Amino acid sequence: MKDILKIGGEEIFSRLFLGTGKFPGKALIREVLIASGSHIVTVALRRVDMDSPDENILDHIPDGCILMTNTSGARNADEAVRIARLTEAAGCGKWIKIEVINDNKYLLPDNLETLKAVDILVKEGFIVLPYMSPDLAMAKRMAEAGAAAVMPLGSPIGSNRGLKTEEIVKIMVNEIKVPVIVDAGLGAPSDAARCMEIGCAAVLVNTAIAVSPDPVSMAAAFRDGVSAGRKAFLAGIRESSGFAEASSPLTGFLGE
Amino acid sequence: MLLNKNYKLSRTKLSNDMKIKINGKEEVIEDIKNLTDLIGSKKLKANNIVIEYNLKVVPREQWDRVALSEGDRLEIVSFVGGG
Repeated sequence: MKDILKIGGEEIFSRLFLGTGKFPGKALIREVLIASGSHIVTVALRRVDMDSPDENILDHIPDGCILMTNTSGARNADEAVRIARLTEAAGCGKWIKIEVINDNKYLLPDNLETLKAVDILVKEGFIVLPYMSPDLAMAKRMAEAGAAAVMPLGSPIGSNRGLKTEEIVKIMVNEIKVPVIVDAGLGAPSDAARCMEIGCAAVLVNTAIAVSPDPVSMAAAFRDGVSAGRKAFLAGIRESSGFAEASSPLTGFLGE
Repeated sequence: MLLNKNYKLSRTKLSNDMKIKINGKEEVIEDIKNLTDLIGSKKLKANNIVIEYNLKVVPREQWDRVALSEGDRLEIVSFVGGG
């Protein structure tokens, strides 16, 4: 049986989504993308610096990847909607990661404003993936509003602290009909594997790969972590026990 | 005082300059008729950028049809790395 992830009507061939921020050089991004095997790649929109117009990041993303622009920088729903419309005008498709943040210390998202943006952008035909603080009721509302997936954070953006929100994410996986994708905070391939083991549909990783001394190898390691975790989930992981259960037969063969 | 004011007025007329806001910064532009002219004068690559003109996105093929006037607000953005 084929294990295929479908989002927004598209078959997604990798459960590792890659963010393109913080890489030491743009030329590295293509190599990292090949190593990660990622299909969905995030980018951001920023004001052009008139004094030093930058080269285009899109030149470094291989054909065949799905570009998902985030709305980082948006502090409310209206700003997120504006960014989404700019993305569409740039010819960068309909995939939008909604990110509405008005907390500068922990960069935790504003779920209410995010929901408002989901509502508007779904109606405009976007494929909308909201980045959110893990919360069951909010995730349900986002799914009802037409979100193609929900993306709860594992821990604060760029913190590399791993899946600190595991208990709530598990509940979301069990209760939410759309794919649950852990976005933000994953620091090591084992964190990504854990997300997949509990049934998440995918993970989005950026900092842990981008700031590694060897981003290409780290991308490959995350790819393996995601793959291992997914296989284990599909195979079925037994519940843990407080007592020992012998792996070898305990029938005595000496002495009795 | 009066002379000075007149001088300013005539100067404005002659050089076609106007004040607009680009990416939140006020700028005086001269002899620029439309968005295509502006992008050319800033040496930006058309394929890399998106323009919002007074809060409305303008598709690339309409840039030469958008005439700039005093007080316009522009956002010129491009794609960068992001997670």
